[in-house]
Amino acid sequence: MTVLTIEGLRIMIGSVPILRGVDLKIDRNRVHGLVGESGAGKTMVGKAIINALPDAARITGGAIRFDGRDLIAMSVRERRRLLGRSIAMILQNPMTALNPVIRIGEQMADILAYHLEVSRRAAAERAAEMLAAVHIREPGRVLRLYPHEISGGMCQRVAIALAFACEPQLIVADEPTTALDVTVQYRVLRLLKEMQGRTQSAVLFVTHDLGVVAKVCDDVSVMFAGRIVESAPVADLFAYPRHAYTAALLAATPRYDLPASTLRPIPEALRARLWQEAFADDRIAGRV
Amino acid sequence: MFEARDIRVALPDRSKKPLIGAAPPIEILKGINLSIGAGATLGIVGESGSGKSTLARTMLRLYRPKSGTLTFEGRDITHLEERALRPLRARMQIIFQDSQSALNPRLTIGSTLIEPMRSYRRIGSRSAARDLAADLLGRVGLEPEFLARYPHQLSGGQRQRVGIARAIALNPALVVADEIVSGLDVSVQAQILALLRSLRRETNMALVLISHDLSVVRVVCDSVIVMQNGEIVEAGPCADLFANPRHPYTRQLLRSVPLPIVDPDWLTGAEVRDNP
Repeated sequence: MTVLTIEGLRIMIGSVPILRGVDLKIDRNRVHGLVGESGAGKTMVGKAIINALPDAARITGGAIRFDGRDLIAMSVRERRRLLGRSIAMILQNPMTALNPVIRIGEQMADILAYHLEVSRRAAAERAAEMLAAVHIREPGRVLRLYPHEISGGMCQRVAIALAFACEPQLIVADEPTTALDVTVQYRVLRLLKEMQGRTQSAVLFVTHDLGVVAKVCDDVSVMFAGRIVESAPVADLFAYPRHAYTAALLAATPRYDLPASTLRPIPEALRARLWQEAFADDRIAGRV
Repeated sequence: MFEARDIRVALPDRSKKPLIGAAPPIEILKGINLSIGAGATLGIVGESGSGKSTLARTMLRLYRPKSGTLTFEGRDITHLEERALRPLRARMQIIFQDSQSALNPRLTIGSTLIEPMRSYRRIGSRSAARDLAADLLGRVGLEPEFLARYPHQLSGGQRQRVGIARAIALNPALVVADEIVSGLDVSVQAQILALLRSLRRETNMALVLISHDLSVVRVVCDSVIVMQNGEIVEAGPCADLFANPRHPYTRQLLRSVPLPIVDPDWLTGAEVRDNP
């Protein structure tokens, strides 16, 4: 069952195209990686879904269908009802997702009481239950702490607990482990995958790290200059990258298991060619 | 060329600072031994809090060790005063992670590069200085036009190239690079790593690369040390250590790195131990 379908999504900031017709489809219980370098537009796709685009950005075309309905055409009120309940998010810096002056237990209970439409007491119980589900050892103690009193990894666990608490159909995860140490990243990825398996949610996993994509995603789309250049199941993409940019990105990724001489910077000629294609797309889009 | 013997460093623990009075010291490095030959490349890997940046700064005597000995080019530098260290500073350089704050925003790239040469009286005329600076830029792959630009006009990768150019300006014997490619895009990172590889072929400087990313170290360095809680847990040639890690922590670290290889069992294997 398809949870999210993005069709021909175009976004501009001022006169600069940011997304140039993005198509994407995610089924239930699938983790879809969206990978690319900074400026490729991958974060914008996530932000468009959760209605968090910067003020200057305008959607100039396309549709974002969630559960069959176009999010862009929806009223703000309707859309807000979906967020947090049916569509949840996990961001790179979990500290910004939590209010620094409210105890973790209190803010979790506030959020859960609102989304689940239950009493504060039931929400507080659910909060403790969720912290246990994300393998926080002393949930009772952590609920009484402030966000600055816990580590980054622990904080991301709290954010994951919140995201999964309402068993959302779709989760947008934007670089959720980028700021973490590698062993902490491993544990957080493991947790994410475990929780996703339980709720069978569809996940859009935005990352710059092809390694993370290979390990946690089922499908992947590679972006460059606001366009998806290649989309495939991960096994296919890593075995036979079809697009030259995908292959170049792989060759530019350092690997401790290979001799140093295998590393190849991305050829400038390839980037130039891809930009030409993007500009050609702008001319066509401008005429329509 | 460089040697550290049983280095211990303690720094003030600000989290335990009383309201009045000094913060109590906390031991960051607990007896580090290492030696670097001329022209060698050494990677130092570890997670946050392992002491790798403290070690880098101590090697350059930006911190004074509590005990142990530091030897640089045959001289004991452990207790040298700043005035005695100054002539040696030209021979040991550091490149920082945050290229934005490492460059003076009010100096052009040209002035930034000429300053160390002037400070050590290595230059004659203004035009000779300009030629030297342009030559340095060329060695790090930037056009001479960049001499007149300011740091904010440069991309992160270009600024990091300037950081490298400044570090090699005085032909140092030792360059310490602290996380200089973290935060860069993979394509820019690959370019900077290729640049470091070509510079080490051209010059005889020793390079110490501090990184949390084991794969980055593999690209540039011949040997590597793995740090945990202020101690070296394992050391050896890269090719050897990455293929046959001996220490359990090294194994855990390597296993946690997501290599771009599809492996459905990666996340379901044995749980990586939780740090307390």
